[in-house]
Amino acid sequence: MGLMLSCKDASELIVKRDAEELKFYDRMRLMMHLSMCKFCALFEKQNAFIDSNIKALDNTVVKEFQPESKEKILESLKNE
Amino acid sequence: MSDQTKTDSERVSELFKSHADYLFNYAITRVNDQHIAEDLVQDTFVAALRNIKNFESRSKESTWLTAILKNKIIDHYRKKVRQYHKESLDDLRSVEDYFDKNGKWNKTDQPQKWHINYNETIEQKEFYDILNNCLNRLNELQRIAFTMKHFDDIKSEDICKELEITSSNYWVIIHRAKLQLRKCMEAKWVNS
Repeated sequence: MGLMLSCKDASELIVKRDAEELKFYDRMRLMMHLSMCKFCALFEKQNAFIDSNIKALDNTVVKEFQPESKEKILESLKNE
Repeated sequence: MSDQTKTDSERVSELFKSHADYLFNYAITRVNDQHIAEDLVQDTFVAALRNIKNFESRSKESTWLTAILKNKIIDHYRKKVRQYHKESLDDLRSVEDYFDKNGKWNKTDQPQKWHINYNETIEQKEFYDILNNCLNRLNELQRIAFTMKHFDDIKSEDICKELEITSSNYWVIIHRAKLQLRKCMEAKWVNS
């Protein structure tokens, strides 16, 4: 990575940033890149948007527990 | 059957009736397979039945059951990832195909404007159905790493340890997962 980041490297730093603090040099390069590249700026925004909404998915019912399956498990517990 | 076991089994049946739905949902968002989720819930209650004598009602039932289920899920993940290791990590595709040889976004992968309020919390069921759908399109390894990171807030280094993968492999997995998820949401939610 030179002083100018590629979009590939920039998007990688964006993804890594929430897990580890970036080095000063990387922060600067990323800031510079984001100020010039509208695609990476959009990637940054949209990625953050997905991240902030994804946790709520955990509390959303995505699929019903089938009553027949429940019945079967209850039966098998009785025989344990 | 002694009276004591009968009582245990009745207690666990009651626990099942009040917590099974929650636990099933917890499992299926993490393993994306109805049958595996059902098996994990069943294993959880079998373990609960064996340990119910040690269960102190000091802790909440749901917390206790979720803790058992969490361990079952991690065991399942480990098994899955070991299969990957066996089949070699070739499946671990890099992010190359999103960018050209100079590292610029490919035309078809360039993020487009989404006409939404980025600060808004989304409440529509449709949004979450699509998000779940996009999550399910990730490959297994991506999905596991992503779920551990975002649902369970596990630190990156601990995910690497649990799944026995290197940190650089982990970042390729997550980077690709995020590129893919963003693109999928753009296609299925924003532009639909």
